[in-house]
Amino acid sequence: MKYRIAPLFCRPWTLNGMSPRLIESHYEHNYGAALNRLNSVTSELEALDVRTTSAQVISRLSREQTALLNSTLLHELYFASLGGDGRSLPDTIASALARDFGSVDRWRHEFIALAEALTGDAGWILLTCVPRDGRLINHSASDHGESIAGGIPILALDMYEHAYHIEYGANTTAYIAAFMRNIHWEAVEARYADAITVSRPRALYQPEFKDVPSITPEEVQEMLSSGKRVQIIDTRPRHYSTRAQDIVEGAVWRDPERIEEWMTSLSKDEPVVTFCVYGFHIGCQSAAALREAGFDARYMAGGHYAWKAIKGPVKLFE
Amino acid sequence: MSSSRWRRGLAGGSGWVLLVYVPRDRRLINQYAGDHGQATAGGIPILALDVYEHAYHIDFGANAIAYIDTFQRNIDWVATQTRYEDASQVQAPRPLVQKEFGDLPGVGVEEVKAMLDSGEPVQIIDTRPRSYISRQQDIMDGAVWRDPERVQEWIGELSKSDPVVVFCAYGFHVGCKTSIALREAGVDAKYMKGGHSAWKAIGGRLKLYT
Repeated sequence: MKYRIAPLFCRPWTLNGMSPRLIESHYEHNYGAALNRLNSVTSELEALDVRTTSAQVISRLSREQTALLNSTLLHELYFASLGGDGRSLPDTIASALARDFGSVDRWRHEFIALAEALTGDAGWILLTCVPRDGRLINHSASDHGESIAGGIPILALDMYEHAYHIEYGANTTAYIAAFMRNIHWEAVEARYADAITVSRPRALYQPEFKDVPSITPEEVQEMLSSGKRVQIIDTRPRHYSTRAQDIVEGAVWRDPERIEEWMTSLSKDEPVVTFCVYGFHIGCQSAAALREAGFDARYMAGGHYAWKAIKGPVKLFE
Repeated sequence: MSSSRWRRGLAGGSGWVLLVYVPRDRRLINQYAGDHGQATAGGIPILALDVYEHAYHIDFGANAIAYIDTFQRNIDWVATQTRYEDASQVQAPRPLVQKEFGDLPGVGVEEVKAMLDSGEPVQIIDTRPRSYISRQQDIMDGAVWRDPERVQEWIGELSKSDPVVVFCAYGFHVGCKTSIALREAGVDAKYMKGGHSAWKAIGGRLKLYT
């Protein structure tokens, strides 16, 4: 596998306060070196007999490969971030920034602050779209290897000294201001438009229970703390709960195999939440049975463990 | 790659081992992340092995090899394939598009290097603007400089039987326009993508520009 070079995206002679000399040096020497080393490490890795090579050797080369790959990817994004006037934000990206940061201005201050904090240090400042929650986040990467898993970076500021030193010396404030003046917002918006089409990590899907409504543990906690009336039934299997040490505070345990026996003690006027250990079939089946009998029942997604993972209160199960 | 080669790669210290789809080149890569912050920029992880001790110590003690084997036995490949299918829909970072030059044929610096290395006959013309070249120290080895503003004066020097590659500083308009002028005159010309800077960036040979 050979990684091919990408042409320079921005027209260096059009930049405002950043010289072609700086961009050329950056592209030819730093980006080029990352790409060439990426290719040589990749062919070294591909030539290994991995059944006989020690894990340490494989791991060392692999780590080097991914750091160089990120350096390549981020440099390409950096050059593609430049070439605009830095000011006129198209509507879509402006409202996305306002949604996720409060305002464009607030985004700008946060982004610049992250960059300023790398004065005397080195790394990347990135604006990344995170498909899991469909939101934008600023982050600072202190080396080439850092990134958000599954995130799509759409704007990159290189804070390694090679990015500015020949022109700005140690004056990172001037360099950051020059970068901001040259952001190509139309290109950022186009990348944002691509990034939001990335599907979020697939959620757990249980087709057999697709008609049974669920409730998240956060919502249950919210109901409890607001004093809303709710009947919370722990329906972890008997063989499981006999070995369990704790139970959701506010829940009562009922044997899921004897649902007909205890169902009548529930009120039909107040909502019911059932849950099992992890949120698979038992809580769902119990909720379905209760719904059939006319109760307003839902199962708690993720079960007892999701409750514990969000630090919901538990008590000793006696 | 074979699946055993892939498996063997999964040994390391504490951290994460990820199988990641990289949209730029539409390929999969194994990645070892030494801490939670490491990931591939714009990559979509489709399989994750947690090799922090908290992931296995209770059951496996220090026997990480047994834990890794057990993980392998429990991989949900159907779910992994589903994530792969989602990931392969992700667009590669947008390439540079110069609408004004439409489908003008370009050639990558890697191909030009391969042509030179294999001794294929090719006429390489450096058409960086005069204002630019007069301050330059180096020129691609194997190229001759010609002023892009005087194409009609030097076009007669070129042979129509060998291909021509023209380039400017970065691969924007000057090389493209020269290539168009040459093609209109019946020369088999292509512009070199990324220009002289891309040639230098891949470590292509240079000589002193005198």
